[in-house]
Amino acid sequence: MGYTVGRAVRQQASYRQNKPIKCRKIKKFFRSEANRVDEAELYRHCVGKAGYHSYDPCAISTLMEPIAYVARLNEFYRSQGFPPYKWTVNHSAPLTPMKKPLTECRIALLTSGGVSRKDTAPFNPQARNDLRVDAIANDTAADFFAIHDDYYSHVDADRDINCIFPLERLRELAAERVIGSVAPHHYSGFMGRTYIRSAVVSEAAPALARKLRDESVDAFVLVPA
Amino acid sequence: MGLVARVVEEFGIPTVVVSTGRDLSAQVRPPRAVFVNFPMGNPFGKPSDSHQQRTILLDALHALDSIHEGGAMLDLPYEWPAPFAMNLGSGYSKSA
Repeated sequence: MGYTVGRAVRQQASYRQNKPIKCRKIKKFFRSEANRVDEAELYRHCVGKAGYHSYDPCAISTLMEPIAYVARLNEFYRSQGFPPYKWTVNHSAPLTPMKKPLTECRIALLTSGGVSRKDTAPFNPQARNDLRVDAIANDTAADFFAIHDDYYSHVDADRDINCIFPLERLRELAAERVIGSVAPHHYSGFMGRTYIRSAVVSEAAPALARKLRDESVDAFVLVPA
Repeated sequence: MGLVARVVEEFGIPTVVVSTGRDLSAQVRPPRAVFVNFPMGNPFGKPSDSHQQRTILLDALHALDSIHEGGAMLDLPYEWPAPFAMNLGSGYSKSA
């Protein structure tokens, strides 16, 4: 793959200004105007018209734009006669720099996909404001999970939990010394449909942060579902 | 989930969100995010495709180091093999 993280970082300028990303424009151009792409023409287009200097055929062939979930959900709520959903919109974000290289970091995961161990109660898919957060021992077998969530399709994750909660992949990276270690516990919770966001921000999330600190977690990977 | 990331980050632990909802994450603005244009139930790809799962996990981990500005999101280049629709499961159709 010709993709580099450096290139993605350059895309952030467009992201911050809420402008479409250049490579998506390019993809759209070729989707609409050519079924088969002449590589020389592609190169000229990338460099010439878009001022985009990193020729990357892999970036061109994407078939679809990201789904507009916000608009679709707004329309859904409207069609149900619900009041408009009050999305949280932030214009800036905090950042804590990494304190050590990845090879020395202890990593933990969080899923919000309604994932529970088979020896604990299932999550309630219909719950509202459910602040339950389970600690999941890292040595839990990949087939020892149940998923209870009605708001996304977990057919694939039912077969292989790593589709949403890549425990086994993380353990492999630790075994190969790509990361320092895997935390003793991962977490599952924050299933959504939480209308009391202050309870998340002032109680549940800080409680989780303290647990991470107590287990010396250096970086945290969160996977919404 | 983005809210949780922001709280944990402010607490002093670096975070990265692996997102399949680009516009959803862009609104909440977690400290770091990688966007994967896959269905919502497949942020790391397909069952038994451990290579793809590993690659996306690694991309997320590397974003911990490569993102130096709070609120940045990287678009990962992977393609789902076919166009997919919003499939939020039965919860929505039940209440619909």
